[in-house]
Amino acid sequence: MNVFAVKKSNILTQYDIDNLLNRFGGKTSSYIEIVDVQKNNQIIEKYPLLSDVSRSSAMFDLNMISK
Amino acid sequence: MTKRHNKVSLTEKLFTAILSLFFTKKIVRFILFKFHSYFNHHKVSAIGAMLMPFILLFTSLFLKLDNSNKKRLKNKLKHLYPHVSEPISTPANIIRVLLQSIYLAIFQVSTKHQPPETAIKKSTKLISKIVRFVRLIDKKLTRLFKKLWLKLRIGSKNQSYQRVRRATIWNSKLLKITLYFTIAFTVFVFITVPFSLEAQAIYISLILIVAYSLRRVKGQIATITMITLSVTTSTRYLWWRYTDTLNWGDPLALALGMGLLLAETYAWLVLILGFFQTINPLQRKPIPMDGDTAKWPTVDIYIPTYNEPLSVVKPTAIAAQSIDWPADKLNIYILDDGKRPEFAQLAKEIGVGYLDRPDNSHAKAGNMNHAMEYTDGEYIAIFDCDHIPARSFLQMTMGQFMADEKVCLVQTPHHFFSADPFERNLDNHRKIPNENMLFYGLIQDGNDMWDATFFCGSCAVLKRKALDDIGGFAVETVTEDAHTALRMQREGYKTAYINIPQAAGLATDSLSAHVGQRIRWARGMAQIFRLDNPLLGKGLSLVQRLCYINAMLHFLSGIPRIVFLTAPLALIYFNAYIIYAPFFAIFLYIVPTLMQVKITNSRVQGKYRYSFWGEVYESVLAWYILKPTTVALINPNKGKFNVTEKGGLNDTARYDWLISKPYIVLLLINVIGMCYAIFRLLFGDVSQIGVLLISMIWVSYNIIILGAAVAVAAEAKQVRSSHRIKANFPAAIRLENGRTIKVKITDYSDSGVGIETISEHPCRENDKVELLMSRGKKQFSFPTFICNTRKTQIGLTLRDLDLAKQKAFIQCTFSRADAWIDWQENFKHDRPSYSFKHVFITSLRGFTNLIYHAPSQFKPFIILMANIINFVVSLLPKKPIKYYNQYD
Amino acid sequence: MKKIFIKGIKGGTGATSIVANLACALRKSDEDVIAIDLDPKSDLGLHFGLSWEHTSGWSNYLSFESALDEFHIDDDGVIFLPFGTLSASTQRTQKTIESVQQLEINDSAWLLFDCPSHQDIQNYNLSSHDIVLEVINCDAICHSLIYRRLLQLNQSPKKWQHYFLVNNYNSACELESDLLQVWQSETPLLAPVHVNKDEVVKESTAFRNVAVNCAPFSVAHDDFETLASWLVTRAADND
Repeated sequence: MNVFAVKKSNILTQYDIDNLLNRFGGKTSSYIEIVDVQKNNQIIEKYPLLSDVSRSSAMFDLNMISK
Repeated sequence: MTKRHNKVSLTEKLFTAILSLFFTKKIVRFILFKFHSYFNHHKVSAIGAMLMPFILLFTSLFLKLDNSNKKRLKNKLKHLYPHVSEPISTPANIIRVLLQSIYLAIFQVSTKHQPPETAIKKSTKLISKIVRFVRLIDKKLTRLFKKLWLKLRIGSKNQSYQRVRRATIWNSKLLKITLYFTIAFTVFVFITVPFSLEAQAIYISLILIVAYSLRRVKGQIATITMITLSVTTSTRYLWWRYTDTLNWGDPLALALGMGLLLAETYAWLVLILGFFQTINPLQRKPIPMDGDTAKWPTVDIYIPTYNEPLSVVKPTAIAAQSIDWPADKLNIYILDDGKRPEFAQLAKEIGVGYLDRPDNSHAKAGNMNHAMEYTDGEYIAIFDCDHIPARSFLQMTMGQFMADEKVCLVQTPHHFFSADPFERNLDNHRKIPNENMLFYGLIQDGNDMWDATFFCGSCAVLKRKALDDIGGFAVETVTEDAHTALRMQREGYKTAYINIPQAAGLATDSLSAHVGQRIRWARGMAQIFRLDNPLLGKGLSLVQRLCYINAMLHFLSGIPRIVFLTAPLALIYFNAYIIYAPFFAIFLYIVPTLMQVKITNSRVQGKYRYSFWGEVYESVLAWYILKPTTVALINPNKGKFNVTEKGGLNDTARYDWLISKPYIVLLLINVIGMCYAIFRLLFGDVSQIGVLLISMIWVSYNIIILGAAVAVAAEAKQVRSSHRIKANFPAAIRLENGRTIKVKITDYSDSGVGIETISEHPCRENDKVELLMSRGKKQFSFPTFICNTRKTQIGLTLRDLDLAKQKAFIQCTFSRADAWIDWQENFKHDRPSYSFKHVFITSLRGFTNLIYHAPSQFKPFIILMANIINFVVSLLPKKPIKYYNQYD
Repeated sequence: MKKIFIKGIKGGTGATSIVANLACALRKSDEDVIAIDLDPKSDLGLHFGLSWEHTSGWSNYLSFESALDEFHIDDDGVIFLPFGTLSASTQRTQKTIESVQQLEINDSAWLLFDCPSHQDIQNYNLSSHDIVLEVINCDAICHSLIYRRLLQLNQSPKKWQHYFLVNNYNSACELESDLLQVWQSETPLLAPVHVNKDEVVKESTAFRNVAVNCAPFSVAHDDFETLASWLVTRAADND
């Protein structure tokens, strides 16, 4: 099987955290990117369609779907 | 008119009559014609005009002076004597002709072909050949020694050696005690037994050989060896000074000698403590936080400000908001002692807290104590208003608190994205490590090993409980930060230092502001020494006490530095033998010790400070910290707090005469001393030549250092109003036609960005372009337009960003987690000889600055001096111009 | 053999261009790639430089074996199979999928299936190693469709690996930026890679080529490379 060097898209990812932790030790997985819960809620409230969907799907625990 | 004509014609007639006795009529006519031509036409003086025709006649006896010959002769003369210009027969020109003829005769310079190499050129070539040869030998030798040491180390891995090492006999206490005793005894012997000169020479050369051989060997053991050697040699030197070199006979020499000796003892003490402090920097690794953010503590961020402009504080507040920490556990407060309404407005707009208080007592410490009454975070992070934090700041530091509840402080380095006065005025930015790099890069890391890290006022997190335990921030001194840390450590808390820059700010923008800041630190440290002496009192371990004392000693360097800068003048001016020993002994003791110490320091500090710059920094501050520290030592409560200004702008290049007065005075007395010493050398007592020479060498070293100090006071012009920061991270642009180009951000400021493309780009000035950058996983788009462009580089200016976009921009640039991690990357290890050359060049720059910026009263004098020098130089022989033969 | 099924959550999300560019990106790293068009629109071939006149594909043949001639190879070495002009039932599509797998090809080859948006994925009889990329754009309809799909998957658990892949993302648009922010933190099964809006994707089709070839210094090129490398890791984890 071909070995494909894993390349991360340049403008997308945790590039700066990678740099930092590569230099000074530590795993990228140990850094927590904080989710701005308040901002997310604001967005959902801002768009009625989103709030609608959010309300209806709230009763289901959709997170169980991902492995 | 007619009268003159008559006068001339009378003398002329007389002249003609005399001449016609000797020469033919034709020749007389020729002489007169030539005379008239020279006198009236070429404005040559009468005598010259008189002589010239005769010279011509004389030469015509030997050469055929027809027209073409004459022309050729004239041209040749012009090339051989290029600095002689018409009219020819001025007295200066006569000197020139004479000197040039001698020069041409001696050196046989030819104008026709490539002149053979002059002696100077030959000797320079020879010197550079020798230098190259020496360097080659040096390289080969160091490689050889490296191999030897490596073999030793590998040898230590083999079996029998390991068995011996592991033998339990070493555990015997008796053996250990005997071993230490023997070592101590040997060291004592080495230090105190007086050697004859020959023995000293041998001893010192052995040490130098060992030091030299270890130069390029890497590893802790080599460093420790060199440090031990340095300690031995310098202690021995000091012992010798105390026991053998004081001139009890001459009271003046004795007094001055004691002064020098005390200064040297200070230097020795600082050296020893310094080695001990930095022998093993801890290089603490960050501890990651627990994965469950619900367990994370609450943090308050204080941004104290007093009179700094809004534009400086805004990015800090915005960046603080974007620190990766749960929003419900993070509270940011601007603590405004200036009580300015626009700051309250800003805080409201951005969404951070604003606190002010009715008075301004105890400056920053008082401000923060007041804020503590209105906030209740479990931890307090403090940023000076210009220190912009990275988004990873808290996650890099808080782990230490979580792992050990005795930790009360986590400090990170102060890094500057602008140039400090030394870097700016000497054009050293990013070329040599700057002044605070030694402390934050090495010393504080060394302190951490002994649990003696202290708070530096900014870029740190403190535990609220510890602050409560000591009654808040300390207000008794002007360096409330160090004092607070000291108090907390006395309470039994621990401190930590993470040597990763996670914030960057503005350096002081003028030399006077810089000196003002250091005066405050010096005074504060002296106050702490008096009011809360780390050597006394409970709560500190011995090593902690020594580390604090070393920090304080560093600020007492004012008097010793002045002593060192003036000591050799004692011998020159007053003939006082401050070091009462024969010249050869002085040479054998001082020079090798200094070299040894310099080499060791270079090795230990090499990446953080280059050799000889420490002396320059000290000289700049010496005069100014002298008084405040002495006053504070005597009466710690005197003197007021002066705030350091940040964010100002220099719009013209000027020389700060006010601040450089002490350096110029010191420089003058040293220069005059030098001249006097030369005078004494030539005309004085022969027996004193040796000590005079040593003093002169020392004086010239002082002149170089002072010259560099003088150079710093020339304030360079600051062109930009917003600082550009170098960067290297990827981004993209989307053009108006929808296509995208991957780019690299090469620099940014708060209003623009510099980018570089991989290949030629189709963009032109004034094109509108969307800049795409990301922070973590989130991508942001910024409207910009192109303000300048080259083949692969483009400068972008941000177009009206609303607050949300401003926040996003700072998140993508200033507060990137890796924004400052390159702070030390570009610096190669110190090389003392190169560093000295650099200091020397800076010193020359200092002198030229003095002349260039001289106040107008001095200008006529300087111009006169310059003219005199020019004139004298013009008399000197010059190399003839190459003669491109058109006439042969 | 690694099977990737790429389908738009609704029409017009740009699924076909993703198939073409992804195939090229994988090929550029020396992977063996076969792209099969399961969409009656039959436009996959145009992305690979197939002549416009050539309209036939596997659907024009009764058995798969007779359709072997319809396999083409483009300049980069990507093997592709156009759909053709006749309609095909679900069963026939199923058969084609199975038949392709039985060809004599490398075990490590990639099979990329360009699926029509109107077709239900369940009809393809997917197994646990199969990856489905459901292509979405950042708009409200897609948001609604995502959650409908999630509810559907919640009720009848799937066997395959399902991801929502954002295409044509433009961070300058407020709605798109808002939606992606919410999706990244709230929505399960979102792929960690997204493809940014880049005009060069459309332009390269007009040049009968793919963005990966036409614009090596563009963001699109980078995005497809990242997508390819992410899939390689996913596939490796499966093994």
